[in-house]
Amino acid sequence: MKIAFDKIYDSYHQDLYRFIFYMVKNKEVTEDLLQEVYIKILKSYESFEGKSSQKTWLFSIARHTTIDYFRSQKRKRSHILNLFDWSEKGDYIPDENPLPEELVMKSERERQIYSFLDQCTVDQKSVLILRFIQSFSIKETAEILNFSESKVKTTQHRGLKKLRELLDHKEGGDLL
Amino acid sequence: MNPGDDKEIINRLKKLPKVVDQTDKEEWHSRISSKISEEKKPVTRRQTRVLISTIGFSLVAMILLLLLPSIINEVNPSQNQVKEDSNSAHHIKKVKMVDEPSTTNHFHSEEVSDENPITNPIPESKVMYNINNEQQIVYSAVSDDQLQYLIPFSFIVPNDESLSDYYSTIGSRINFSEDKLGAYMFDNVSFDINVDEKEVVMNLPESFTISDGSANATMFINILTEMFIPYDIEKIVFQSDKNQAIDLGAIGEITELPLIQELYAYKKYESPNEDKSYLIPIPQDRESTVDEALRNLKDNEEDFHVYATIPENVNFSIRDNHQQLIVELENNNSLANEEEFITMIEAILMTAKSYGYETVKFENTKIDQIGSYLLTEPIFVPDAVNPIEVIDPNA
Repeated sequence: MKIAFDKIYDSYHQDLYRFIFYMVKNKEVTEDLLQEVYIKILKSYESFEGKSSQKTWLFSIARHTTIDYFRSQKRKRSHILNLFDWSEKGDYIPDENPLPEELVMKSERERQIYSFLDQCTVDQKSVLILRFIQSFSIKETAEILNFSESKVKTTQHRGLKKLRELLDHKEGGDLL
Repeated sequence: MNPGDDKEIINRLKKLPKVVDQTDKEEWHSRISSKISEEKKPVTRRQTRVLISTIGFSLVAMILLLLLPSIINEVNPSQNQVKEDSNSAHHIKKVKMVDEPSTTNHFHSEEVSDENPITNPIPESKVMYNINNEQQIVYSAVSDDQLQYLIPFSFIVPNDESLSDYYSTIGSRINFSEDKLGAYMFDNVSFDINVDEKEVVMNLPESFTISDGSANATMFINILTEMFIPYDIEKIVFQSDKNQAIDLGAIGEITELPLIQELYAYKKYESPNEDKSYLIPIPQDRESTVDEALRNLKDNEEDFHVYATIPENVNFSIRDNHQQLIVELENNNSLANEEEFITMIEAILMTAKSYGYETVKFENTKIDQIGSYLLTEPIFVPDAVNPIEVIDPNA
């Protein structure tokens, strides 16, 4: 197991960490989820059949694990509060976490886009993170998300449009 | 910002910091190793696994015959049965399972009990219709071995017997077998089902635990949803001797669980451990349309043993008429493989059901009948997927 762990850690750890972090925006949760991802990977490492690349396999497990987390949070919120109308908000997960230290020194523009990512759907957010923060190609993103390449493009377009609307609204508001 | 100026936004995204994990590699290894070791320790509840169709086949068939002798012929009628559904505003004909040689997945009659199910040339159906008021369906599910997807299964029981009793003894009625599919979660758990109150009380033994991780908690919730949403149950109430609350890890401690219907597309799960496949529900976005869900049926997820149910080269367009979904096929000449065609029909039916449709009409199918389905008529969505054999625990 150590050999498999070393191989995955050395090649993909920081990328997996970054992907999960930008999805959930909480370092503690990121560590918990990444631990879960490692356990799943190491348990099924022997049975990985290499039908996709190891990289896309690892990221698709990370994505499934993150979505499971969102679902559990959705349940938790609806159970505890019942105040949040998920049917209207869709998969929007509001960010209640403090800014990571890496972002504190960044400009307002970067902080805005970081915050607005949460108002995209989970699919849009996944595509935007993989494409522009992780620099994955359309093909790799499609494999990870199990989308067709055209669906990646459509989701990317919708995600960018959503961010543009939010930024336009914010900047318009600031001018008033 | 000018409309269409995506470059500016992309640049902002690219400038977001490369957040780096500062935790030491050895620390990670130590945490993960200890977690895996913990999980390998024996647990109090019985670790059981789901049934393989080929192993124990004769035992199961025999017990099923003892338990439900009259049901088999009704689930698998020997003649074409098309009857008018008088309740339908559109006077749609309800197509039942027809010409099934009693092999609706694991159901076997005396006539075929000596046949080897692997070599049986007649394709298996992966769905079930409850066509008799004297019987009811028990729904349950297990997880796949990677805790990614839920694998539902179902069986029929007489209507005059306690549903709660059946649900409380699923673990002993199914031949779960080690190392096949994921473990059954609810051994030694009893259920009191109150359909009128839309509530199920779940009595948990002291030893009941859910492993850490949001995947386990999510699977726990998904299985309960699969089990009880068909009865319009709205919430599960947890009870135990010492403490009413149940610790769902990432969800926290709860005493009640509201059940929420999700949207699904149905794909084929090919178990890596047995020569058998199941239709499984793949969750879809709440904002998704049935068209998007059906198009997703063309995608494989091979690393998770999940495969397309609509072949890549089969095109289709859809429209609807109230509760009827109309699927017009193109390029379906290639669907010579009867099993592939039936699986496609059933996956579309189940996906349509998830999106609220009651019937599906297939057009431009080239043939009038495939397996038990009369394609010239609208087909009712099934009542359940993956029917399996049951065992009489007292036998």
